[in-house]
Amino acid sequence: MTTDKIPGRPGMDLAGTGAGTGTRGRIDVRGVTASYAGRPAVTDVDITLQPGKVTAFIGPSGCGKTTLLRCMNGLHLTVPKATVTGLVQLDGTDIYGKDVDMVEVRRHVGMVFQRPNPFPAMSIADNVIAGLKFGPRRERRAARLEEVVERSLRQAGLWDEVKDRLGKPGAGLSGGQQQRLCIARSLAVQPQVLLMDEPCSALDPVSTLIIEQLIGELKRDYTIVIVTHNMQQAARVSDITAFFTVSGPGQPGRMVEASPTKDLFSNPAEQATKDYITGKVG
Amino acid sequence: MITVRPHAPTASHVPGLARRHATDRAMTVLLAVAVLVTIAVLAWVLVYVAAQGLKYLGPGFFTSTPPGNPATVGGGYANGIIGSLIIVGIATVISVPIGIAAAVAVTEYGGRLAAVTGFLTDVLVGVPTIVIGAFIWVIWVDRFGFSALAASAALAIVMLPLVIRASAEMLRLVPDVLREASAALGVTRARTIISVVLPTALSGLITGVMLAVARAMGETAPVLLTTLNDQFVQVNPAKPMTTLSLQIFTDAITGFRAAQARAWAGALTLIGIVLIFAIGARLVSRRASSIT
Repeated sequence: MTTDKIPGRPGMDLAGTGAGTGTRGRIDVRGVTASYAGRPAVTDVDITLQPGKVTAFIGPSGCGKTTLLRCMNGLHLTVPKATVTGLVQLDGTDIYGKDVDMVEVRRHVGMVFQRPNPFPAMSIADNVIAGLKFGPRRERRAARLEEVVERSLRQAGLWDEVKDRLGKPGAGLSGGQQQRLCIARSLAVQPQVLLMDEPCSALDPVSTLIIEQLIGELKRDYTIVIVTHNMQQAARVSDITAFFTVSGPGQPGRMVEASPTKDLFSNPAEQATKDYITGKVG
Repeated sequence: MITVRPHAPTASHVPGLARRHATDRAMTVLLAVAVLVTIAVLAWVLVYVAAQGLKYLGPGFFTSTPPGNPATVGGGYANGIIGSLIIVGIATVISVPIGIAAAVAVTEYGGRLAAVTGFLTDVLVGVPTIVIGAFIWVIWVDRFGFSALAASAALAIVMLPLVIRASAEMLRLVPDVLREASAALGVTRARTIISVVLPTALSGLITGVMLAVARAMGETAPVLLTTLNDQFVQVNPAKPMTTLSLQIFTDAITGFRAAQARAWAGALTLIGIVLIFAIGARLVSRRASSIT
């Protein structure tokens, strides 16, 4: 790896770092174990997330796929007594390194949550630019906020539906629209990676389809990771699928295999994967 | 085929159903009575104060000061109204920022200090307000004399635990997913609290502050021990200044009909001021939460 610093850290202009161009945003996970209060939730994971690709995490509940996802932007550590061991590298930089600012890392690694969570006290437009308005002063100054609102909402496929009511509260939108608003909010800070934690599980099938199409469009420019319970969804949207499993309640989860999606679903290497995707277990 | 139950679920076939219906009716009546008693007591107080107060209340009550001799008919509580607004205003300015900051520490940061703060808050809520008045008398009034500022300090101590408690309750209601959403955007924790958590809780915070203000408006004991019942309009907080509550108290215990009439009118005025504040705060918070 050539860089030893997060791009855009001290003094660099984020707009020119290749954000959203699909050339940056590679995440290397090496030997990662994440624990809650000393109890491992997922152990010893190795996986590389490629720019321009969608990686899906599938597996039964409790297998640690969401926990692993939350290790990639340090959100896991906001839980009291949670720990991470192993290495998570963003473009070669250890994001848990001593001299790395996690707040800065999160401007490169965006996240969309299971339930749409627009900020209720803010309008649609303010939701989109929240990350910029509340971010470092240099970015706030540099950004042309109206342009960011339009660009981000267009990227999220929501512009035409909300352009006449940008000043209205985001909570007035439908669930699917709210989720796209949350995607637009993440895109507004121009991350290179987009983590999606079951982004469609609270949505109806039509809204789900729209989000899936959106993921297909966004993957050109971003590294996308999607956690899903829905194997068909993984098959539809992802290029690479990682299968996780767990031996039993209270046991830590582990990654069984990660392969190109069509291989994993047609010809899994491991028996555990085969059992899961054919519906024998889980 | 649909299998039909052998018996319709009527009282004669379901064991205990009649008893359940009876219990249901009994509890419904019990709760309705509790509601009625609550409303009746409140309405009684309000109607009685209004009836007594309106006998004397007129525009002159808000613009004139009490007569030199309390037995004389006439005069008003202009000085007390002004005094209450100034003293409670200063107490609010002192207690609200500290109280909300403490609530943020308790709910957002946690830790041992927060636990201690939470515990002390609960203790402070239970301290009789006359003790707080006596405390301020000992450390302040005894050395520097009576003043509106001393009364404000006492009322600030009365308000502080109320503000902390109500604010902490409201901050806990803000869903964690909003904090996480903000953190995931690369927003610092401090900025998340200022720009996401507090605005989301704003209407609840305002309601909590209003309760504390209403409470301070009515407090008499701490004011009695810290500021004198001055007979004239006074706007300098370094000087003694009377309050509505203090005027009501002193006039009510005189035994003169004229003074008691003023006290009733004062009581109605006090309720009116608190009501206006409460409605105003509701309007402000509704505006704040509906746009942007």
